[in-house]
Amino acid sequence: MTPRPLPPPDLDSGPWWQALARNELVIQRCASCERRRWPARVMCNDCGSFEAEWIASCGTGVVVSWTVTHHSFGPDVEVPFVVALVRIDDQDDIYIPGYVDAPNDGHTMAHGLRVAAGYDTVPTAAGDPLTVLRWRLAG
Amino acid sequence: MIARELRDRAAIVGVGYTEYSKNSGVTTLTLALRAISAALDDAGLEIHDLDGVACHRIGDSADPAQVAQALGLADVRLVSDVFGGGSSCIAPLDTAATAVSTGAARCVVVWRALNSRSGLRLAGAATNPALSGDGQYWMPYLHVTAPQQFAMFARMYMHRYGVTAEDLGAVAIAQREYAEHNPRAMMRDPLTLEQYLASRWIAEPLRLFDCCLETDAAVALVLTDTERARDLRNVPVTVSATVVGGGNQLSSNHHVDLTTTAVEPMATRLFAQAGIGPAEVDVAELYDAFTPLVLLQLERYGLCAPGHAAGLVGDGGTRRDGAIPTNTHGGHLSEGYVHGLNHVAEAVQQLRWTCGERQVAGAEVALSTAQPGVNSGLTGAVILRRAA
Repeated sequence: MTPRPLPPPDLDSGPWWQALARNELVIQRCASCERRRWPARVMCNDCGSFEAEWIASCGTGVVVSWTVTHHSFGPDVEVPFVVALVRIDDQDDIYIPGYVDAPNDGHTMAHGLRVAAGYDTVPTAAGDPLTVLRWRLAG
Repeated sequence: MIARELRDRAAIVGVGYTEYSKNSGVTTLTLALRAISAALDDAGLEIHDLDGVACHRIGDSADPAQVAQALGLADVRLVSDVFGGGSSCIAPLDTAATAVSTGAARCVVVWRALNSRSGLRLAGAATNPALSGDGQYWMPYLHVTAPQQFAMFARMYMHRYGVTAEDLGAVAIAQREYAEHNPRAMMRDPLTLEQYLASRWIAEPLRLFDCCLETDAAVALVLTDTERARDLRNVPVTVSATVVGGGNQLSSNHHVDLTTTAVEPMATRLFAQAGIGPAEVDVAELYDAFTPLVLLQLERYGLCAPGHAAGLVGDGGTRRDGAIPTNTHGGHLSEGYVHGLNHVAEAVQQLRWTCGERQVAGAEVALSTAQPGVNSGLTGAVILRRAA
């Protein structure tokens, strides 16, 4: 597989990547207004509070879009492959990308597919493998 | 921002291009200087008339201080160096127009110079972590190129409004028809629906002909105040209104419908500032890195109703004799990709009535836009008017 040209997790996002490595999907919850958010942010963009905690996501969602990459843009990039955008069931405005446990040509993909968090690892240019999402079909 | 108080007080008086190619063989500094020289020649002005420099770039082009030095400008009053891509392409023009209409500067050149085919290829620009704050969540999936990013949006837009591959093809074909009459255009051969549908997938649902051309080129625009512009050789094209801003992107709070963009609130402001409605726009030059953006913007700028853009294009509504002639140079899809600035340059020439076979008869008002904020959440737009 192609080593990923990664930007390293930053100080805000570290807990997200560490949770994925434990095969856990987490999101942030504002300690003041309890609104959920993702990607990682230090401040609530609803109430402005800087107090938050990472909590377990319900782990399920629905496919709202997907791409099937056919054009190989690098010498080692194997095509085709599917990347989906999933709206998680925790809150209606949180969309998280990931691979999908489905054929690489995308022919089984559809709007509204129910999925649940699954996990996979990819090699990185830095050497250590990285745990990423591979959504599983949830029927 | 060109709001009501500054309406039509700045004018674009010069337009300059370099050659468009896939390998310029020169630096971006050279491209910038050539386009600026051409724009000054077009305006009938001299280098030392300039006292302002403005461009946008993504770490891929000569910086404006270097350009000012190379031009020999020793007392520059305005330097605008906007970090950004297509979403930001109206920002330098907005700053320049504001400066000349308030007297902060007298004559400002705005340009974009890039070797986006032979140098830093734009399609892969998102692999630059500096460009993508949230790119860390996409890069591990090798979802890093512009076609992939816009394909994700395109599928949502197409699903919501029932837009088909044939509808996207109609956009590419309509723009190619204009390009056949544009000597500058890189793609001038006729394009058929069969050829479009047979073109290879880049990132589904986008095919090759849905994607813009990576181009080596520069375009420059010279602005001065409208009173002075009346003494120059070209019909002044005045800046009626500009908007630059936005905010609504993928991860924005309460952004549930991802087919809504940064454009909607800004379009309302833009037309209010210009004192006109969308129906008064004679020519639209809409940022078209990919075909779906044209349909989206026709709707979001109120040039047609939501969900009606595909029908409009399919019925010839964006052709020269249609309801809203659009991307009359062939756009980024067929003329070339100068990151939004060639759209403004085409709008100026349409309002000068110098576009030959692709001229929209009697065009008085033009709209030119930035990338509508897909991914970035930022956009911008300008309304230009042929001076009375």
